[in-house]
Amino acid sequence: MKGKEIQGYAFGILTALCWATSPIFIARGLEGIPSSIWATAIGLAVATLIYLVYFLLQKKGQELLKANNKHLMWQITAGLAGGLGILSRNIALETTRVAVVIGLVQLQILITSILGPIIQEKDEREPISIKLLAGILLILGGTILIIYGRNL
Amino acid sequence: MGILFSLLAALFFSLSHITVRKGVTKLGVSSGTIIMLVAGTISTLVIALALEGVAVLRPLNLTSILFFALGGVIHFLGGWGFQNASASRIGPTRLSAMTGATPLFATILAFLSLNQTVNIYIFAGILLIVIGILAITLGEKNEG
Repeated sequence: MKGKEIQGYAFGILTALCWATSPIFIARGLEGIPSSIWATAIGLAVATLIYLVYFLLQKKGQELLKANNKHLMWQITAGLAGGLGILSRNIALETTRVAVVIGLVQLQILITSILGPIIQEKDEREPISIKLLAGILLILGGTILIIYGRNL
Repeated sequence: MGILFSLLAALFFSLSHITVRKGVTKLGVSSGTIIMLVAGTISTLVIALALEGVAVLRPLNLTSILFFALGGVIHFLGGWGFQNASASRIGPTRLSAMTGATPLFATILAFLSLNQTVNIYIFAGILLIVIGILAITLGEKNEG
């Protein structure tokens, strides 16, 4: 495995750590104002403002002007989908048990492995190995067990 | 309705993982992250205004704003930044699999902060997730 791939897996694990940590703070904030939609919007707006300052200080704006429109559109789609995803999850959490929501949201791993090859062009497609599929199934199985165990 | 929105969330997260790979590989992590953040902010603000208006914000206090801000910085600045860095290196399917560790970390954090105990199901679940992640990462090593 190359260094780039090791970094990729480490960043993926760090993504999971961030996504597991943030609900603790959001839950504390919701004690003051019971709106998970606004909680998402405020959190996202603050994160954007902070990163925008860093981005402009680094004078990286020029890179955006040179960017290909197609790549910009894919990235905007990623932002819209990410925002809508977290909003949908938060709306679901208002009416449905956390265990059910977390379990269903984890289906994203399977959906990605199905949709990925459809949306990606031929040269972008990832090789799907038996070990990758086995790993995905083990992770999904583990999630179901944790959810079951936490609800006993 | 909750189940429908949970499935929608799964679909949107998948789309985000796949499209981020198509964009960020060429744009770079910094530019990719700022575009995602701006697009996400505009869309969620419009939806929040349309669905709930501003009246719901009346009881908003500084403590809540600080907690939302902290949660937002960790989830979006940290999470989306790492997601972009990961997707550009290993692709959306492997990234999605790695983010499957989120319930594992949530459980560990709950135990650390709430002093909960681990039962056999939770232990088995943690074990399966760890084996799953190892199968994916070590599988890469053996095949590539």
